Amino acid sequence: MGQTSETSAQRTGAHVKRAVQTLFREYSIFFIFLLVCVVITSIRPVFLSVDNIFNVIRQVSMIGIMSVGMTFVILSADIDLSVGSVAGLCGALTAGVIARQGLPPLVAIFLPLPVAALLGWVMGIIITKAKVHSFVVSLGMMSIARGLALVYTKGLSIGNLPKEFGALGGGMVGPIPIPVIIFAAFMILGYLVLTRTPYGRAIYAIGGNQEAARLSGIKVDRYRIMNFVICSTLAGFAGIILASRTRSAWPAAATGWELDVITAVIIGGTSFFGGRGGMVGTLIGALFLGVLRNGANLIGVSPFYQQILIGTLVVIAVVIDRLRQRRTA
Amino acid sequence: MGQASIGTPAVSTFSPDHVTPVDHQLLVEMTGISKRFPGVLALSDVTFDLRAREVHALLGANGAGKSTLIKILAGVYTKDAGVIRLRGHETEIRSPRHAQELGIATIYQEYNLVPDLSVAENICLGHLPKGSSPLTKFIVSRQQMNRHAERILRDLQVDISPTIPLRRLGVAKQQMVEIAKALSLESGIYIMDEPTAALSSKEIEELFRVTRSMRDRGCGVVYISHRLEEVGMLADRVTVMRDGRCVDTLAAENAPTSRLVQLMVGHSVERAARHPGCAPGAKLLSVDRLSRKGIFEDVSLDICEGEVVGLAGLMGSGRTEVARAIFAADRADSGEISVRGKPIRVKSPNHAVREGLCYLPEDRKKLGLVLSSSVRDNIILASLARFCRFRIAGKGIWLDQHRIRKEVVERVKSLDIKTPSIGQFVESLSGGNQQKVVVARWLCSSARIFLFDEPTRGVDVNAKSEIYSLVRTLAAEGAGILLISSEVEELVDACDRIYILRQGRIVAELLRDEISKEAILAAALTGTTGEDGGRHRTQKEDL
Repeated sequence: MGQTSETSAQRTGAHVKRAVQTLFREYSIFFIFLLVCVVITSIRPVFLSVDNIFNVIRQVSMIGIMSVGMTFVILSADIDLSVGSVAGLCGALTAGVIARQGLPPLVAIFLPLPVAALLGWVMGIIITKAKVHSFVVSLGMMSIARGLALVYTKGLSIGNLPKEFGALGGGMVGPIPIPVIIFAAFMILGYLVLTRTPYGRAIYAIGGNQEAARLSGIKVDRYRIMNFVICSTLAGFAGIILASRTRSAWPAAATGWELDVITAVIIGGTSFFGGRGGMVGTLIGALFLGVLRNGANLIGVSPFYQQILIGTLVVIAVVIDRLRQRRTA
Repeated sequence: MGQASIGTPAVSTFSPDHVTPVDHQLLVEMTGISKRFPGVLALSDVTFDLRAREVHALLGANGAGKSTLIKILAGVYTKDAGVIRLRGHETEIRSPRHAQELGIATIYQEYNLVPDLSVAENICLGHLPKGSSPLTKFIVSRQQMNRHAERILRDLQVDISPTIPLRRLGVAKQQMVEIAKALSLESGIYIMDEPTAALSSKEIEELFRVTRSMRDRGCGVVYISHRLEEVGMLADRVTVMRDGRCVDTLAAENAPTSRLVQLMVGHSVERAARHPGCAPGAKLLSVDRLSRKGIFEDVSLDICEGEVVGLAGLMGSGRTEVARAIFAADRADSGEISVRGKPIRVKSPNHAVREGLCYLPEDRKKLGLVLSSSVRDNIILASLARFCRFRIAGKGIWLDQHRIRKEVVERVKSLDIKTPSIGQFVESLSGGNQQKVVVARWLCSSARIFLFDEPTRGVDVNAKSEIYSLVRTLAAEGAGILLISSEVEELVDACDRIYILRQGRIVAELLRDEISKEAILAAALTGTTGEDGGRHRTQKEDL
């Protein structure tokens, strides 16, 4: 009797030990994140206030929504550089149909999404059927989408949008900003899709070994195209939230965001070579990005140094990923 | 010091005027060579020599030790025991680079050429001629390089311009460049590893001519090939290897094909009792005149319910390619495939899986497994749709974790896959267990036709027998199995019927009573089964 309880205790211990090991291995970045939070709090306790926490999350929510789609793309060993431009284009389109056509905001915020989806689909088709690397195709699309935004706005910004439109990006439900709710919803949805659907499991297999996935009967091309459609659509949606938050749109909106988005995914431990990582990591990655910027501002670190910090973090994350692969290979 | 004394004659052998008066000077003498790999004695006390002015053919079935021996000579492996003398001097060959410096040039099956460089650059790569003044020391002298390349190509009497990019040449011409590259090292000792594998018969003639001219200018050539008829056409002497030993060395004129086959096969070994065969049921799969240009031609075969059908052949005979084409992993140019008598046009592996086919690839790490995923994810990969709970428009959208867990644990247990948990990454499992994971994946799917390509490669003895007993069980349950293996004994033990491929064609079909190691090897090597029986398939029978 005593023996059995002892072994079961041992077994629990082993379980806990293994869980902690996995946590360390898979989410080593999580502990660095916690450490950074503790350090910031000890210097500026206001960091931990509810207002500030929501402030941080709201600031990263648009990057965060885009990084949900980017996680899909990077997990299957592709890359999408066009997300910033697609976000800018969709913001401009929404603002345009409200200001020029006078459409009600509730309709206008959904109109550009099919455009974003179409751009993603086109990229996916070219990448899979013509077998061109996604880096090149999305690099081209980055320029095309930005160009479309410039053409549509004639290079001018669109401002003075109605107040109701501002609700999407600036509104609150109780103490929680609406963008935070949307961000959380997409994160959870993305997490469930990745872990619980055939599509999600196929993405991991495609990123881990595309040929093995194909030989197992996975429709590799179809899923990769789907990734780009999802990634583009979410980018477009984030762009609309951005336009709503500022109640204006300008053609250069969200320029360079693709780098922040990729940074969030990579910091979150998703392997740049596909097959490893996931939504939890991306959530931490996106939050980390926000916390660093917010914390640095609170402490009074110059934005110039923030750049250096974030860059260092990206490199550390990738080095950790390499080490992890070497250890298990 | 030793290097200099060896280096000098290496250069001189290139021009016939300087060849030493002794016509049959020994270039290479290998005596008592042994090499052990973990668990196998790859070479045991092998003796081999190569004279100047000769082509010495090296024969043997897969795994006989030819390539190990050659790799020792080329500096890729180091020998465990034995002595190598080069031109009379005892030498330790330390690395491939060292072998090159010693005047040993290897022409491999896969060409070591850079497609985007010119022919001349490829030929001179590694020793590009440079200017002599301090200013031009770092600049390649194109003129000199092109002249050098042109001279070598002219000596070979091949019509290739030194300045055109390599990628514009066909396979045969590229091979000539590879040979020219080896010649430009002015080596004296050449190793050619299955140089004719990718060539047409006309190109082979050209290659023979070049090889003979290499011989006539005093070089020695070690020539490895699976095609026995080439021995009589080209070689002066033949050495046959079997099971890591040198069986015999004889003059080519005393070596008729039948004698060579006999030497390669050796004495027949009494096998343990084979499994009791079961009566095959209805036709599951039939393949009719499947062809893929330049790879295989008019391959027709049938697999019935409850039958284990072997597909034998030497390396490069097209075994894997046939299986991949049936599974639609590669596109076939023509031919028909029917499943249960119903003709189907399989468009993709996905389609093939839905038709109840499955393919276990030869290279499990590259093609079979998702190494970065867990045992569970690898096992359910081919049957994701089956594990779904909710369906929209017939497509599953939600995985039933509970059922997955239950079924995967069951599979892991029944196949005895040794893993700490089903969440373990497959990359940390042993080879045998990894292979069982791939097998489990197909057992989970609804496959009824199993195409197993080298299922026991790199797997320990225990796992091997487990995999074969599984194959038998599958057959007993009514599945049809196509088994590809390089291990002839395993085919003899496991198969009800064996097709033999040679150079992309099925040359024989052995029924149960006709199956023997000798018959398989004879057909694979020569295209006929000899007196052992076995239906020699003629064109008529195929039609």
